[in-house]
Amino acid sequence: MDKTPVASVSNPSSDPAAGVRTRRILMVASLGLALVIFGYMAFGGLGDELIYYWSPTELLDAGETAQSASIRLGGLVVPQSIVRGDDGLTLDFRVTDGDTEVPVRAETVPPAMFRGGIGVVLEGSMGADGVFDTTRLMVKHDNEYKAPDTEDNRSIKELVKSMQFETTDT
Amino acid sequence: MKKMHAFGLVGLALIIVGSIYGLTASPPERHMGDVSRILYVHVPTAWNCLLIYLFAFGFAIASLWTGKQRWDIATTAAIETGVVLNILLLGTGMIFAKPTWGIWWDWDVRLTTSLIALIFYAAILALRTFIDDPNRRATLTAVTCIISFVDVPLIYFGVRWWRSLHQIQSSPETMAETMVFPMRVNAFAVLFISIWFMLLRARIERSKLESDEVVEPPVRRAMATA
Amino acid sequence: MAPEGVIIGGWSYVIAAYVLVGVVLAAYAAHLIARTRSLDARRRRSDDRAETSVGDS
Repeated sequence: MDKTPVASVSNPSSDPAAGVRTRRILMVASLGLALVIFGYMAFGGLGDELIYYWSPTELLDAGETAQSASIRLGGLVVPQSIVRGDDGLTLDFRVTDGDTEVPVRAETVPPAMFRGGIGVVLEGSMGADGVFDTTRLMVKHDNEYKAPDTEDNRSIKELVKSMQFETTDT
Repeated sequence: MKKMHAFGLVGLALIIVGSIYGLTASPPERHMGDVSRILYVHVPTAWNCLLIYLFAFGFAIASLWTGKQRWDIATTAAIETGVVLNILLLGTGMIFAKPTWGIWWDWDVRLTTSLIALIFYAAILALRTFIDDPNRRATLTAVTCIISFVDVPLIYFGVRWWRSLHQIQSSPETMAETMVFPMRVNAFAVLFISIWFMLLRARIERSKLESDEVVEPPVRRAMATA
Repeated sequence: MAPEGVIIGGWSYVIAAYVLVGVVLAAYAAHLIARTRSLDARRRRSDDRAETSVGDS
């Protein structure tokens, strides 16, 4: 069942060749537009402008300008740094990117997977006291799915890779 | 017609096998526990969603290049199946996110681009209902489908190019064999089911177009002479 | 006491995910089959009508 252009109210052109030409021009144009949009998204440096989370190093480098702004901080929870408050409400720990550590305070119950050595993405703001106050604690786990009897022998440096801190430019 | 149902039956058999294995035989993940079993439905729907959108992209190019109606039929069938899978990947994804990440949703690149895809492709289907002329409808469908496809590589590669909440792709190296197995079985299951959906949907579209053409010409002739 | 960083239970999430997938796939399949059947029925009816009108002319 061919779709040859027929003279009608909606398509006044009765020349089949014009229909073919128009369609093919549209095809090239839409592919071209798609390529341009894709190129911009992938290579246009968007990653620098729309950073999903800051690393501890970036946060400290920003100094006072980062304070009291609502941002996302990403990092690996430093093992053995977790301190739960006596009231059961506060949670103190440190996050690292392998180079710098930032202390964090959370007033939320963390997700079950929260532990030393796991990645986290924290929404909140840096206080003047140098402690990041977070209101939303998200766990960012890595791409490993293993059976219960397998041990995880990775170092902090290896685990930090899952935080993708090197992806500021594409 | 009967032959196309084989795809559905094979898909059904595979998804039963894969799911039973995934729910009982594969081990709980060392950190996620039994929640990891959501993987065996989340990942298959996600992979196939992107694959079906890729098919739609190819069909759309063919539709514009040849002008033949069968490619518009194929494009429509693929988009609709893709939208169903897109809904499933987002739904299972959110159900997976709550116990693992701790939240139902966040605007990272993987989730955001996946939602954008659903909005764009569903919009194409909605747009089709507003255009009566099959030629213009086919052209518009193909053009919007090609442009919407820009989002698909962003969904897949976005987690590698930008920082995200969603982790990067796993591989057989990072995943236990007893977990890879049900995931692969269900991936093929959803593929067969998706092919069956597309074949059925294409047949329906073809019937609709045939009956529209029976109705239309007298109307056009009347308008031309008016 | 649960070991640190491990999810215990969570079966309600697993069931919810599998049920969602099962229900949506089954519903869409049923929808497609129903539409196929009604189109077949309509075609059979118009075929019958075509045969009788040919006979009448």
